[in-house]
Amino acid sequence: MRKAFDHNNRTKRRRLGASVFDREDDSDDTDTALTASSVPNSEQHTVAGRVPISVSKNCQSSWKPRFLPGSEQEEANSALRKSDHDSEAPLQETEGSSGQSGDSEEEDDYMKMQISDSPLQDSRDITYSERRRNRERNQYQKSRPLAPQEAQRQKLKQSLDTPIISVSDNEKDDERGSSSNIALGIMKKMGFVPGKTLGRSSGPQTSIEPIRPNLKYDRNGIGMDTAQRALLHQATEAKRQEDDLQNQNYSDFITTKHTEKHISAQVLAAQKVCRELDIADRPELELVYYSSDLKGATVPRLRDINYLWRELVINDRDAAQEALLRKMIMERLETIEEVTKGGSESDKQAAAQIEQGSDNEEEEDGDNDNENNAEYEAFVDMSPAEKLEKVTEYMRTTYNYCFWCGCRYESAGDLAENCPGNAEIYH
Amino acid sequence: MSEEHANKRVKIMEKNGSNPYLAHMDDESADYTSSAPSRRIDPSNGGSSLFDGFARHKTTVEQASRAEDGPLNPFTERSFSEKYFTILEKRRELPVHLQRAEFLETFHKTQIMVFVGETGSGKTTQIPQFVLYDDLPQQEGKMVACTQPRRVAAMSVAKRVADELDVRLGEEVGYSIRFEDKTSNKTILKYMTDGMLLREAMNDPNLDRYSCIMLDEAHERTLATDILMGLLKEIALRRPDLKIIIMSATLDAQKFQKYFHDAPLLAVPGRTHPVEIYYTPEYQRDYLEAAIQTVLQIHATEAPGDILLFLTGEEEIEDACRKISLEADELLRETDCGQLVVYPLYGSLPPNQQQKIFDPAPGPRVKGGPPGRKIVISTNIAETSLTIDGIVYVIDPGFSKQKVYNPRIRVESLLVAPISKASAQQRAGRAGRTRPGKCFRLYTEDAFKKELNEQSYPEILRSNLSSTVLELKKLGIDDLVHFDFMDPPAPETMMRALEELNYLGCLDDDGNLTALGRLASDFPLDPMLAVMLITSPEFYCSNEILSLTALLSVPNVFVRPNNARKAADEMKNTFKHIEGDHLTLLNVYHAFKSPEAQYNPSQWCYDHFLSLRSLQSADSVRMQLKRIMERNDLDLVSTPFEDVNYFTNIRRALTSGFFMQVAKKAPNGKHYVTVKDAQDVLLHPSTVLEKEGEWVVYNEFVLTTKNYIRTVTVIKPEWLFELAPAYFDVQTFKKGDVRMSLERVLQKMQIARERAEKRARALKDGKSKSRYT
Repeated sequence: MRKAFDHNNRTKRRRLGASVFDREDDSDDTDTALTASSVPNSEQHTVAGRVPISVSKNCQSSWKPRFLPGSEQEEANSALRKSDHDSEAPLQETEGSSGQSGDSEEEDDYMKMQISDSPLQDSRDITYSERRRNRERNQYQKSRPLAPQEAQRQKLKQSLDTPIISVSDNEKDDERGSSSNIALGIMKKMGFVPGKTLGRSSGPQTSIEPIRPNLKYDRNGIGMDTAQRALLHQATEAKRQEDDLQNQNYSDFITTKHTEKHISAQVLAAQKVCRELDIADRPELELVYYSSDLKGATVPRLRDINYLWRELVINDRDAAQEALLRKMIMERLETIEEVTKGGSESDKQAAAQIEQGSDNEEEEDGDNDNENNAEYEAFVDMSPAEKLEKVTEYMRTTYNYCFWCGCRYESAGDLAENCPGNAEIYH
Repeated sequence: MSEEHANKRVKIMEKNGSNPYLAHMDDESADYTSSAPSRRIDPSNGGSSLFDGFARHKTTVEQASRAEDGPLNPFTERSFSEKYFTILEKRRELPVHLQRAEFLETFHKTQIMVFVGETGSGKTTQIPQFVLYDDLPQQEGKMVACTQPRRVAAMSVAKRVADELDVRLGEEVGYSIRFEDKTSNKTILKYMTDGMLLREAMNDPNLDRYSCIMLDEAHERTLATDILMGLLKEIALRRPDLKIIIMSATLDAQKFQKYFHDAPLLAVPGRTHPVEIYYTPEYQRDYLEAAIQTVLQIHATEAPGDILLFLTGEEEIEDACRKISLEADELLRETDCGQLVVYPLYGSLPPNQQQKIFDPAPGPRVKGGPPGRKIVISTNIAETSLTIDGIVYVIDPGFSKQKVYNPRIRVESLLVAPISKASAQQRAGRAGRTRPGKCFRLYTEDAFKKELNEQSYPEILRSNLSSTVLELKKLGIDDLVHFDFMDPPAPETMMRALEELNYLGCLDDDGNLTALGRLASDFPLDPMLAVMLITSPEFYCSNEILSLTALLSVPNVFVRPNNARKAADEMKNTFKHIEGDHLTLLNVYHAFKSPEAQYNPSQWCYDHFLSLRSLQSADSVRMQLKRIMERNDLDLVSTPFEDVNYFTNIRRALTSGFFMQVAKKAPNGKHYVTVKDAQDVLLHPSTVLEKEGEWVVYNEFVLTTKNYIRTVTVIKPEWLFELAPAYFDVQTFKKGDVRMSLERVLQKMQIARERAEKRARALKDGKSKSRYT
């Protein structure tokens, strides 16, 4: 039962948040004050002084009833001429503030009550395994023997839900007994039409449905069931919306991830084609890969490489460097095992070599003229889609090559004529 | 049943008839010793009547007042008693009296009128008298009838009005209720239950013996009142001389007006004080707990005045009484507020305890201290049928127990359900009977507006209609489907009723009344009971079935006081018959009729934890039914008690009426299953049945937290095929345990039959052989 001003409840609410509690506290104060002040109001009441004692005792021990005067007493009690509307009744509460006070607690209680083990899900959103698990759970529930009382109620409900006069013609009344047909036959002979009401004048409120027995198994007050149903509805609705939102986000995320991956792969492919085309055009560029071995004058500097595929070279170099490093470390380990002392010299050398290598590179990079480098950096920062656009566009304009068609056209005109356009979707 | 005892000590006389329903409870002696029974003039001897100058349906208020002023009673021509004039004075203060002229005007003008008078207006007692002075039924050799939904009301109002007219009850003014007729050939005003008028209509289709019919408390919409309204609407066309007044206590009388072709309406305000209504700011999780706390708070903080709390049933009321008493004791120890006394009030409460509610509240404990307070915790008995003086505070949790029938499960049960707005209003009104009061509703105003129905469902929508359909058939209404119901019942309910009557053999397959049906309609009983009673001579046990029928028609005969449950159960066991509760009931009745018990019945009942009231009324019901049986040439027979079949015959007769209420034990042996509707049920804890037979008949299906069958007796499945082959057509049963068991029984019967035939043949052969050898 609800104990509006019970201390336990108050602590419970306190946990819910300061604002709720503050308001709660206020209304509590007014309430006590009101009850106390109201006592002298009833003049003949000689126990005025003592009443607050009992009230405060009540306050601590149990629920204290509070009432609001009916707003439409005239309507509620038509014949009773209401004499004094404003006379303050001892039990009267001033404001609706305390009326709202319980809400937070209700929600709290309600959240505890709700067991959402099977959140509402759209069937198409669940995976096969989930569906299978659901099915298994349902089967289990069906096969599990119900508690006798539960079984009773379920059967009762089922019977109450099954009309015994079927409106449609494909009657299955035989299940319900042959005399039903006899009885129905008698009624039909009197002019009864299934689906219609009896009587001469069917008013608006006449129903063909029999009145349902109200099976009340608790002592919930009037309005409680409705209020809880509304809350439950609200909460499931909110939960579903939240779930929807999450599902939405996830699928979006997955899609973008896929497309990005796809485009990145295409960028890589396009860069490779671009490299081939460039090298075919200027074969000396290929030497960039052998720079470390051939210390010749013709070795192209990194900055001379087309920024569109410079990434590839850098990545390849990084990979090669790393492989070299790993190889040297492995070798060094072997030397450590063979030579205990003398090896340290070669180690140092190797390390120096590696460092030198990287130093060289830095130097080289440092030599790059800023313009070219800026172009490259801008390119690296681009999104894959933009990169792709840039690379393919370069190939089209420079080599009349269409990445999507996978071939080189004779001329720009040929390309414009025969290639549907620079995008995957056109191909 | 209960109300009549609740009210024995109402101070009606000094209180200006504040509760006319209770008048019959007053001492008979006080009434007539004072009036001189002499000087009786026979009105038929041609002497001048005191009604000279009165023209039927043209009288005036002045004429009537002069006649009322005496000195001779125009109806009896005896001089009025002194008491008469005291009452007359008070009567003329009643609100209806102010509108007597208006009433007469409307009454003269129309055949059918609707009269609305709120509680306390005096309509039930005064309007029939206004009619008497204008309609003068004695001149036409007819009567004026006024129907009441409750037996108690009919009895007590008749008593009160007899006093007001200064005549002897049962002479000019009488009453007629089921199993009791207190009228004579002098009777000109007859109070009766609506059910009785309906029964009369079965043998007097035009209700020719009445010149005016008043349907009182029509707003209660009882089954009989609803049917009567449909009938009267038709009779009014056939009998233009018949005046009809529909009396209602609530303002929704437009519905009646519309139903009766826009009949004129006359409304009289009630005499009540204003009642302030309070709602809780939020819904309650436990209305009982909330009610208890409200009682305590009212006691602690409100001005003196008694409290009336409405709860749903005996158990709940007793529970609340205990809790409030405990809390009140504590309050008394810790503070010095006044004493709090708690009285329960419900139907099955013994009369002497019911009377206590009329005790005044206790005074202050110390001189000058706060006065004590009385609290009455009641079912909805206190909502309409009786008034307790001094009630200032009403607590209304918003629930009551209501009868509901559902044709889909064929169960009629009392269930806790929210009350209607009209009911809530009626409850609130109880706080304003003596002075301005307050009503505390344990729900929000929002819930009041949205959750409660405007009106309670009329009884016709909540009842099993098999009796009603039988009555309508007897009344000659062939087209039940288009009968002018004010609120038509669900078609399924009608179908179930027809079905039940068809199985019982009361209606043939074309829906015509059979001889059995005609006979059954003669008994004021449920068709199943009637058929059982009618067929009982075939089983040589009509005496016993007659007793049993009577016992099943009265409230529970067993008393089980809270403080002596064990002793009561032990005592009940001494009457136990191992084959079931019906036979146990018979044992009780036979013991009650023994000379030992009859020597001092009330002591004997007290010692044996039995209800004297129930047993006595069973006795009187038995007498009435016996008369009807004799009238219809039904033999009253018994199997000799020594016969082994004595109890078997009774059980077979029982089965022949109750074959539609059979349950079979479920395969797991833990519960029973009703055979046709396949509902899981448990034997009610009150049963004496121990060995729990496989098949049982039951008297009642009770829907509570669990489904129970109450009053059960073991039967043999073979009887079902013998006694009700149409109902037990195995093909119509759903596949399952019940059907399989029935099929097994059939097989067994078949084998037994074949074996018997073989044996007979063998015997015959043997005989013939022996003859030849």
